Amino acid sequence: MREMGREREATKVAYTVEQLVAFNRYNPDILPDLENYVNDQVSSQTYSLDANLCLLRLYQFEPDKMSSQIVARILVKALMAMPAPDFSLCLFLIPERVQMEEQFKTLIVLSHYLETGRFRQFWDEAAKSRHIVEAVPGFEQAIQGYAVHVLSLTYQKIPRTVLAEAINIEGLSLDKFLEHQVANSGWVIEKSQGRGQVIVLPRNEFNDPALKKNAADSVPLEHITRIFPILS
Amino acid sequence: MANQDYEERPQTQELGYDPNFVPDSVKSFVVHLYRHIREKNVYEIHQMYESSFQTLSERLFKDTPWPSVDAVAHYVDNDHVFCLLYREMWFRHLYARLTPTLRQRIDSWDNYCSLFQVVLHGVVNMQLPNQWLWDMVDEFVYQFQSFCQYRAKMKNKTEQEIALLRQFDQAWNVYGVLNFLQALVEKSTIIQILEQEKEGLEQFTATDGYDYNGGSNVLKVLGYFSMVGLLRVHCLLGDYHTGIKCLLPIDISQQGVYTSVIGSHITTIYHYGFANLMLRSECLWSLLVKDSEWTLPSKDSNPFQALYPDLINYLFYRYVEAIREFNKILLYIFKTKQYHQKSPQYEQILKKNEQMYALLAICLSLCPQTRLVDETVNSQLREKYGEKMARMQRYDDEAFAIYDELFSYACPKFITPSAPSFEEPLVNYNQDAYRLQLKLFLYEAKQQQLLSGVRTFLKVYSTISFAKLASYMEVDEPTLRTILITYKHKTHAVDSDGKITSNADVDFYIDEVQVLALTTICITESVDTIHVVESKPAKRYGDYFLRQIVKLEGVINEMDVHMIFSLKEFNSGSSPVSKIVRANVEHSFNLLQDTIHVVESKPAKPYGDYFLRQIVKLSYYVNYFSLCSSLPLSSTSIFLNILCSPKPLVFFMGVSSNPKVFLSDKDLKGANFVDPELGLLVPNEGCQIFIQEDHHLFKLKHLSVQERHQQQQDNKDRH
Repeated sequence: MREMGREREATKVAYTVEQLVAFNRYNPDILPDLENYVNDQVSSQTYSLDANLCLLRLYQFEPDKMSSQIVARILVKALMAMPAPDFSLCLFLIPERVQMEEQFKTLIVLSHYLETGRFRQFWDEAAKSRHIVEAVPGFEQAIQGYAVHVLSLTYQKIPRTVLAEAINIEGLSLDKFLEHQVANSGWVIEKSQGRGQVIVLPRNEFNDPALKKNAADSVPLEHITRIFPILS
Repeated sequence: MANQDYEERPQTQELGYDPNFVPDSVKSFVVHLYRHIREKNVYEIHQMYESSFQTLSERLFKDTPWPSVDAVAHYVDNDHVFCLLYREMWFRHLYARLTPTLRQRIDSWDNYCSLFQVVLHGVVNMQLPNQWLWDMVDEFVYQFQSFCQYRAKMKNKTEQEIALLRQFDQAWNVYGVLNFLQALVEKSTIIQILEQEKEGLEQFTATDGYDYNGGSNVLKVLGYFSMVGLLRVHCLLGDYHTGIKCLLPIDISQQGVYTSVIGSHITTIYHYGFANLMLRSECLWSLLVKDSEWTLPSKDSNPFQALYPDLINYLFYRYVEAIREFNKILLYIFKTKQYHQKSPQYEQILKKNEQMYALLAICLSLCPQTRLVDETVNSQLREKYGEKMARMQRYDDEAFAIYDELFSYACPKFITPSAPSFEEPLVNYNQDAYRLQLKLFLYEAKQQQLLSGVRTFLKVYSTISFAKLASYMEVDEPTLRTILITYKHKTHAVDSDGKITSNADVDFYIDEVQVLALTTICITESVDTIHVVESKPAKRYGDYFLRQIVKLEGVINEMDVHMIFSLKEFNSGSSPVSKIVRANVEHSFNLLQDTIHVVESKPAKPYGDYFLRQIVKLSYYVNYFSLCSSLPLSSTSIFLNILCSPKPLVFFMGVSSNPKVFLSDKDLKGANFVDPELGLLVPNEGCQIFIQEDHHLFKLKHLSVQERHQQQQDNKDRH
């Protein structure tokens, strides 16, 4: 007996969680490993959507084993992955009655604010639910990253106030933040008459028509392969 | 156990029929089927499976089950595997025509377990038609879904049923179902086979999965279809991301074994499209890279890059992808449905067809990329949903009611995979999964819907002030700002490398004060104006030509092979026909300049020039064909890939996907054929085609000059 136990332990060590998910994903026995892995992701600021989806799937098969705390952590992590749609991928797998729990309702509202670009409401709501989001390190930075991402798609020049609202940084901290962006990301600060600071964001094909590649004129390889049989 | 089994089995008197009575026609059916299976005569097996079984069911077993397996076993040497197959069909017939009892559901599960175990242990040495193998996987998943639905209706269960459910808690257990499908995929090594096929080391697609070297196709093809089965199960569970991953080894931009059976073709695309619809805007590319990141540390050794090199090359948006695939299959069904009228799947085909139009209507309302849709499909769509789609453009309750209606009509039958808690009061929970998916879908639809208003204005303006746009949309400026940001977010996807792709039909940017429309939108916000920079509609020759070429190929495929034509005559340019063609070609030449430009921008090889020449060549033939042909299109569902070579026209015959349909000798007479093995055409000799039935391969027989001449004469007379 002891021999066998040891052997099993040995194999356990040999497989990483990623390998378990890849090769043994329909096995209820990997559930504890996956739960530990969620906590690992929180503490080490890493992320694996597939492992988390796999865990949610196992919870779906055996609802008795579900841990609300773990589910909440997965959802916060998924929010931090914005603009990717991970949050809804997770929700698809969480039964409705579980989604009715207070903390999940809050997270769903937070996700809605992010999805619809309502940053002020988002930060207000997040401030009210510190206990949920602050349990996961890197949360604020991740959301700020998302905000900067959508703003740079949208704006060529953005008033300081609008930026401040979106990333929830003000005053001196904002100056610091801007200084950093000017040095590293090519941002430029302009004074416009009587209207306060305006930040000029770097041009890209999404906020500047001139840079837009004429994708309309290119033919994807996929399409051409379709006519290969005809052309020979 | 066995005893209990027999006790529960109702007696003849109660049933009104004798489960052990075997009519002569059934006896002959099983005996012949058994013999053909032993002889690996795929063609005959397919005939018996597709038509005889249906005919007998229709005639003798309209509302009773087939004779029990015990009653027929001694006609087939009590062959274990044959009995499993027979029982599989027996249950399938029962599910289709009657309502299975719980006992029967459990028995059917046991039968699948035994059958798959036999297959997984490699004991099976048969060659079965793809249609049958597909039906097994399809039915397996269907019965699982049906069981979950049944189990979830707890309210009216008898005590006896509940006791059975507790006792056989492994029957149709979700782990069991997934693991069987997964085991079939792994054990068949189908993923590796498909991989090796790309390198030319293996043949699978080319033979439609059949094995002509004496081996068995059963495990391989079951493994292949199990990938589709996994996609479907994951969709039923709401796990779209994983579902699509299960399908990745199959390249659905190409034809493959999955298209060889209409049911599998439709199921694949329906679920693939549906999953994409639910996934909104995730990049497939990012999905691959995300995966690979944790299986391997360095990008250079990315196994996914190695596995799916062509997939990794392009990014697409989910909605766009869903639209594209729905369009393709709907067009395909539109063109071919007449050939399936007699098929037992015909009703199912029509139903899925309607459901996919509904899904396409949803996709196009959320992401108006109408240019991706073929005119035929579009006109069908307008006819069915034109009015509803117009109403879906609005942002009000009525619009959502329509989203709700279409989604509910077209969605898969979602399931709750977990067993009920028998202790708590018994409630029905069969609608739970569906309600959750519907709710989340409508949630997303509402967020998307907000954007249709902006879209309308941006299409009209090139520059508009913030205040003006806000007042038109009846919102305040901060709200407008959030809407514009939402627009950008929902129409742009980012992969893990930070690469951004846009699927916006209209775009904009905001500079200090204005929103500037780009055909892509950009906002300029400083003096409160939005600039919409309108870009001229880009000419899309490349795409246009590609579509035309594919269309032309369709024309050729449908064309009867009756006529002979002499290329010499054609090339000499003396006939009026060739003059017309020449004129046409010149015309295409000019247009094609654009295409060249596009294609040539790719690496070193001057593909553009190459393509151009091929396209011109093709259009020669196509024009010639369409001008000459005065014959009705015959009912060939044989797929002729016509390769145009510089010299004589070459017909290349593949293996028919549907062994039932062949061209008659008469049809084929007079065409020039090339032996696929030799790759040569003897121009002055005709050849005749005949079919070797067990492999349904086409063989060629060369005709003598005399025979050939006679044929030509016949043909002339006919004209």
